Amino acid sequence: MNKNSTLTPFRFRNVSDKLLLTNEIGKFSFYSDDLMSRFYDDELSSGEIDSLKQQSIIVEDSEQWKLLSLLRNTRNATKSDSEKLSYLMVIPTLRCDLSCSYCQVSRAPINAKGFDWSEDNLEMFDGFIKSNGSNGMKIEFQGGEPTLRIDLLERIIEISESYFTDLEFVICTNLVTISDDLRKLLEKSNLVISTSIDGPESTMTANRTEDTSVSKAVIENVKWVIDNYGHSKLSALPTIATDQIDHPEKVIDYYRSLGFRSIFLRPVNYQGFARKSYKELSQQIESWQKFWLQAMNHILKISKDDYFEEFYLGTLVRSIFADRASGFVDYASPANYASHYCVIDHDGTIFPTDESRMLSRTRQIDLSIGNLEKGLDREIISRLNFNAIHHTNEDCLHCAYLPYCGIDIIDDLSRYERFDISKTTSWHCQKHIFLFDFIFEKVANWDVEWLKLFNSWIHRSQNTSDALQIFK
Amino acid sequence: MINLKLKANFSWSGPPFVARISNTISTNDDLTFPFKKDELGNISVHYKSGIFSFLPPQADDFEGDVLLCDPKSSKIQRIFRANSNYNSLLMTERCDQMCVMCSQPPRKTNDAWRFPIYEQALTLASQGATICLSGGEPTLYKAELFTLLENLSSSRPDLKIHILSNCQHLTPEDIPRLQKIHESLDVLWGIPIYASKSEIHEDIVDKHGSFNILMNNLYLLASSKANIELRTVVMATNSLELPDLSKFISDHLDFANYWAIMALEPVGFAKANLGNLLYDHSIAPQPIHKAIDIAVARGVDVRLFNFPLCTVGPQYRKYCKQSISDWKRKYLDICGKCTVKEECTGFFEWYDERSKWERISQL
Ligand code: SF4
Ligand code: SF4
Repeated sequence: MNKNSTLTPFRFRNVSDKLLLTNEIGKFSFYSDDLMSRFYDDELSSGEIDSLKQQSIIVEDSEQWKLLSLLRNTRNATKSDSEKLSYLMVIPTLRCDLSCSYCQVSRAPINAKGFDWSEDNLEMFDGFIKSNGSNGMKIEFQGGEPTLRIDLLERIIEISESYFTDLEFVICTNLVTISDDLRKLLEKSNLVISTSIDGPESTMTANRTEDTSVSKAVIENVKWVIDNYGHSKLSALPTIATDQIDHPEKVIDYYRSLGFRSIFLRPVNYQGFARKSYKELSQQIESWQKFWLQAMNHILKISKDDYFEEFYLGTLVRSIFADRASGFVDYASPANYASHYCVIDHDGTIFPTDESRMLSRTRQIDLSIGNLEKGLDREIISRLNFNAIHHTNEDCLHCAYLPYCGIDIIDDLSRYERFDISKTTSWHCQKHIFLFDFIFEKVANWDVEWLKLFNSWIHRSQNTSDALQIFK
Repeated sequence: MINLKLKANFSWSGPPFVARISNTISTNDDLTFPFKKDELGNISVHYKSGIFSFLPPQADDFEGDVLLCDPKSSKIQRIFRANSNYNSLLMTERCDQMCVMCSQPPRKTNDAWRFPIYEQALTLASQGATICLSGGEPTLYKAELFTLLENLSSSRPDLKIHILSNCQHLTPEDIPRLQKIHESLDVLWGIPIYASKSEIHEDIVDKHGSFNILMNNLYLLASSKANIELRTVVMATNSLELPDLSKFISDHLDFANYWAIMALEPVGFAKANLGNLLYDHSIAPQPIHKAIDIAVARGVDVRLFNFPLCTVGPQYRKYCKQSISDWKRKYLDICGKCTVKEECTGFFEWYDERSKWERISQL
């Protein structure tokens, strides 16, 4: 290596039979797997040196701009623009008219008392949103079943719109019924709904409704919304329970038959994973990976004809190769809790994420970061944030995927009741290493079929020029 | 084509000067003069030192135009046409680069006279006008240029100044001064970059070591809060590099306001080198489509300059801008019945058989 040059930090990992090198901001390249031994013996080929220069790993003295570019991108990747919220989840009621098998903690019986937002809450919300909200923000109504209290939704919308224009609202509903009041709300063009569809009627009945007629009604309602307002009005999430894990094709095909172009294949509800032994965890991970790979192969096949994406992998692909800032809360580092997202529970308590609300409900740990009355507790938030930076974690520090990965201490807490575990043994890490390896293997082997699929996800369309240079 | 340089008769001889001709603008500046038009179309102006007159080759409105007049060579130049929203000033013909497709081939001119005269002219430009300062390389006269900009920021802060520069001559000492200028005057720096590989870029501009200077100076310029337009002329020698350049710009130059991919203007050196340079994107648009896809996916504002709409794929037409100045723009016969002619930038006046693109078809 030239004396008039600088070496900048990089990380490496074996992928397929190659060596993946990533620099501090995730610019990557592949090398032969004996690169590192030759690196320090000064026996690199000129092609390798060129590639390292292109990655800004070797920087010549005449190329100061490369260091400035590194600095600039590093700052952009870690800074949080404002302390204002851009996403708010509100739980107007915890009551629900269903009792799904995987939802024990996040609901209260339909006739229970004291699980709805009070008048006081509404009044205090006015002050809260005024000082913490921002234009362009999204407000999501979760439950329980928020449509049991359309009156509250209307008031919350009214208050928010009195301070901010350009808001977006999402109602997460089980869609068992569409009341006249809900119908009226749906007319709002900046309001969409999100619902759960686990699969066809039989799966729905087994997982959620325990009643064929209710399942039928839900599916009818889904179709009604799509027919009347188009697909952009409705998004759906499946929860994959154990009996579906062998047949990912079924739920994917069902989603397609309803006209969806995307599916979010979430792992089985993590609450079931809590306090499992490592052996059990690794079995669960294994069965999840099998399910997931089977699903991906099916999606690859489908996409020969039509656009279809798996939302989470799509998000990773986009954040690695395109938009870099993904905006995913359980997927950022520093996590910057409560800087742009938080959850207000039915009693006015504020949590950094929905998972932390669940954890607090099961009384494993109190993760609240404030309440409507007193506002956000910056002291607690900064204590949480201090631990939510993977750049200072001894495992992540050396990981080639660090520039693309995030940290999820809430998930760690829920599974292991602590977050000072070795990250490499955590579910978060194992899942992400698996997904990153999957993606980078396709790039290492220049697997054009897959890269074209990834590229369609980046553009959210198959009508592109197949500019696969984006993967270089 | 509108001729901007005209023959004129002067009743006296003397140094070049600037005059605005108008019969409607009431002002007490001593640079605006009324004009008369006779039945043959001759325009005559009563200037302080005498009378000058000229015969416009085609009918056009001269009301409010700013003219650069040179009695010695019996010529006038319409430097600002009042009814055009894009006028430019040639600050110098000198340049330290020698780009293979330069439309204004460098010459060792003596340019000292230009700055004071141009400054006068700029004070006469219409309200809110965009004026391009081009060359040669304007920053070869850095001291004069910065002073000009500083004066404009107090005398004409309404103007929008577009400077075309190769960005080879900035130093860290310039930054505080530039930052001040940028705070009070709307300046857009148009800076060319031809490839992400330094060898290819340097071959095109014919200056060894220029690529790293360009990159270092772009960072300097950006630190003065400059608005930056990146410009890439597409040629046979760099067309296949466009997708990589797109990635490079999104990686390292995302502070630029936008990236302009430009079709070749077949004049000057470009005309002489057409055989080596002409790239027919109408039959092979893929590199351009790919560059756009990558730029858009990675958040770069990308635009196509000088690309007729029918020469790029349907979903890329929205990036085409009407970039060819009206005075040197033309359309072909086939454009006559085209439904998008109004939005189409058309062709440079000098576009001909030799610089022809194969696939032009009305939409
Ligand atoms: S969590 Fe795992 S995959 Fe992510 S950065 Fe840390 S070590 Fe790497
Ligand atoms: S036919 Fe002429 S006017 Fe129409 S798009 Fe082509 S170049 Fe433009």
